[in-house]
Amino acid sequence: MRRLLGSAIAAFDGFALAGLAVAAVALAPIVALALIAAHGGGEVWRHLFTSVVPAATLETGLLALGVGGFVVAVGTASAWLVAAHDFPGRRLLEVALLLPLAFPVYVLAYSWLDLLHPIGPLQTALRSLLGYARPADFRLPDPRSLPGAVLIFGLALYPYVYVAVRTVFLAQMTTLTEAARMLGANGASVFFRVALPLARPAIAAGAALAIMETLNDVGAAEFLSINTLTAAVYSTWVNRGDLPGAAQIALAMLAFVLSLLVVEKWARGDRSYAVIGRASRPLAPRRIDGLAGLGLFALGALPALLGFVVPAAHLVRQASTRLAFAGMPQEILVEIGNTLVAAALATVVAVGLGLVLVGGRRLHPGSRLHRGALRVATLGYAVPGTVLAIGLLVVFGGLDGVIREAVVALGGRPTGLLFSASLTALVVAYVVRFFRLSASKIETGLERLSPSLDQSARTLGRTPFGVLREIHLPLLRPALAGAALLLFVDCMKELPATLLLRPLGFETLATHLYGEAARGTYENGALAALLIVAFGLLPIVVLTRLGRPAPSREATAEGAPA
Amino acid sequence: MTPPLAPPALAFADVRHDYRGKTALDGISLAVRPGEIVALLGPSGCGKTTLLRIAAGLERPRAGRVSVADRVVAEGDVFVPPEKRGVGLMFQDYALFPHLDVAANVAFGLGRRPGPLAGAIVADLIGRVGLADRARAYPHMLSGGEQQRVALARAMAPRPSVLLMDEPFSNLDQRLRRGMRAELAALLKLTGAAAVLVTHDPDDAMAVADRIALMRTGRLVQVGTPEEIFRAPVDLFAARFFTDLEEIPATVTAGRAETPLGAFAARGVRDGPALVCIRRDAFDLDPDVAECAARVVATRFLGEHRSVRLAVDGLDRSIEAIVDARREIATGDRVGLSLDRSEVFVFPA
Repeated sequence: MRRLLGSAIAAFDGFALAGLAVAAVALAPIVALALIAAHGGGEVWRHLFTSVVPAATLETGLLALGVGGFVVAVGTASAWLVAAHDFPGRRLLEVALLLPLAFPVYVLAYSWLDLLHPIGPLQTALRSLLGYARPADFRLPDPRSLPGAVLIFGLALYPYVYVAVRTVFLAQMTTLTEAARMLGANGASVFFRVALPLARPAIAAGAALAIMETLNDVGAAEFLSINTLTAAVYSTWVNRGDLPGAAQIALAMLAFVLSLLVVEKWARGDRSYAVIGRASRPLAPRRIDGLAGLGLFALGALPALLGFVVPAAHLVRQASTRLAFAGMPQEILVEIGNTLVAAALATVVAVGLGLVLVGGRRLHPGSRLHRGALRVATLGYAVPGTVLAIGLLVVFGGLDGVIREAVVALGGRPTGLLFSASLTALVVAYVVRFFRLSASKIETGLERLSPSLDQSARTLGRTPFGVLREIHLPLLRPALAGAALLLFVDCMKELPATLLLRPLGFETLATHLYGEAARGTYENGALAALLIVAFGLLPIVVLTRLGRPAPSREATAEGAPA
Repeated sequence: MTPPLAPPALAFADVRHDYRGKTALDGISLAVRPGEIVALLGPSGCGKTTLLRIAAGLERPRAGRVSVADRVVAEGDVFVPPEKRGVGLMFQDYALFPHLDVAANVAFGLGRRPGPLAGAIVADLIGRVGLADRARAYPHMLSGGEQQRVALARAMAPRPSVLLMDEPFSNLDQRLRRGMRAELAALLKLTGAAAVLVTHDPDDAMAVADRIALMRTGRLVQVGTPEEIFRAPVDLFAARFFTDLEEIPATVTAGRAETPLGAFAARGVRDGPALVCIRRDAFDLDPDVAECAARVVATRFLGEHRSVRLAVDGLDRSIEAIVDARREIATGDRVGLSLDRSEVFVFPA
């Protein structure tokens, strides 16, 4: 016991301090939610938990189930299509199937709603083609329904499964497929008996990510008139001003997320994450030419077409019409500036802290303190943006109150809101929400460096911090750049926390789009939507380049103890 | 050599370690004298790398004492971190920093004060390992042998009193390996630092070390000069580790083991079942002074040597002998067999 305590004290250093601080900030909103939720009660509480929450839970559950089914089916099928078959246009399709990643769900919902509007371009053209005169005579089914929402969420989110599963097919399938063929299995039975079971962990991981995004969404659900738990949290706070009520629903949501994670762990089985890597030889695909090949291409192109090409083309057209008609609106420049500043600040903080926490854990192998702090600090990824924002509202509100009272007690004039609704609040929210992304990217980068590099620098006289500065930092530059890009774009696209925490009058591209859509003035948001999608394309460019083997200067050999 | 009164450069006293309850080191005591080269030799998993990492400070022993010169660096609550030990370590994968060139790698351990003195030390070392013209090259541009020499120069640059090496030859091919053994031994003697190298190859150990510490399952089996260990292995494991043996079951009675190949003195072996172990190159095919007769079952030419499989009269299994390759022997020949008795050991079975 004394030994254990002694080693914890011995391991305590700047890294541990930073880790504990970040962990505390990540944990604070969740703890605050629990505390404030305990304050609610009475009539409102009964109303919430007898009518609002059960209905919203049911609708959220159905949406999650539908989206989960859609992304598993479309993601796995499209990955198998491009990995195991060769047909004209396969290379193009491989990349095109990634493109919907550029669309946040709320932007895709926004585009499709505009496209499918009864007097929008699609239905108007269809009517003139079929010879109907008035919108009342012929109408497509309204996308603002559960099936419509499943389709739109699914189209935006299936790439999570596609990416994960395709990696498995490319990296692990070569010899196994050949072995299965040699044992007499045909194409279909290779898929069902070898590929699918192998890809199961990846499918589960991808689907969990997609469902997590579904739970996180606040814009699309609202546009599509789906009353999810997230929407309930949002409206309970924004429309009723009932923070304890919102906190209670938020806690219900956390329970939902937790059960999702449990289900994912179960669905993955006892296997760990799919091993990322590339086989020495790629999977030899089956060549399919002629009409059948064309058919496969068309089939594979469908999700990319509906998930990216059509809505993006619509946005381009709308935005250019708007620009030609009214010119560049002044406020969009301010909004771009706001978006960039908030995202850049959060990126710098998250990447810097990621380096310190992940590096600290690596430099203290076996230290429970460093490992535990890192684990708690990354919890934010599982907390939906709305839930996190409500928690932070409570924390910052409390902080402002304490400061005000302290200032008054010291004889000063009451201070206003220092943290609530400030840029700081927004940046903290982004960092907590996306810290896991930064940490995992840096971790992947560090794992590629042999631990003997660290140990070597230690025996040559460097302290742990010296190793971080002189070895890790220069060698991790590409990994850090990659992490920064992903983080930056995710912060840019973030909607729910931004809506709740932004300073008064502070508009980003995302909140601008949300405002226009909420008002029903779709055409005014096209430019902002297009800009968001354009930034969203950046990480996809990086992602597709990652697939290519690059000459590496990094040491890869392992120096493990005997 | 060094007078016995000087404190050892590196000393382990009853060092114990385990990984998650699995014993890795079970009470190791060993002292390395200044300037001495000691090889930790043993099969993989015997704990030799763990002992090296404990000396470096990369691993904290569960019990026991480690001292460098006359300073205790690990015992109980005392634990000196690796950067403060003044001990150099050369890694199996060399661990050259890929973002630094050869000169910067070698200069790394000289601290963040790149003065003219540091520059001179680096230039001198790079020259000594024969890489003067490669100072500006990056590690990925070097061959395996060159990388090893940079790693050595880098570990020596801070002038550590003890230099530790983890499998220094394992990443080199056979030919390069033979050359580097002699070169390494010479460089080490020049610096005067004590050195401990870990290896699983007895040829490496015998070519470089002043003393060999043979290890098995976390314990020291035998410590001595290469010749002592080779000539007088303490047990069957130590004997088997250096060369292939013909092991012939026998029974010891009154200090003698009787076999179809003759009777052998079994000093210190109690009466009962035993193994008579004969090194394969101890045999001589000599029709004149034969101790017993045999028939050649198969032969194979191996370059410098010839391997001969023999059916010995009165023995129910064949044995293998390694003889001079110039000797012409054909399958089916009848030969006389004699033995160099210094290459025969008797151990209890």
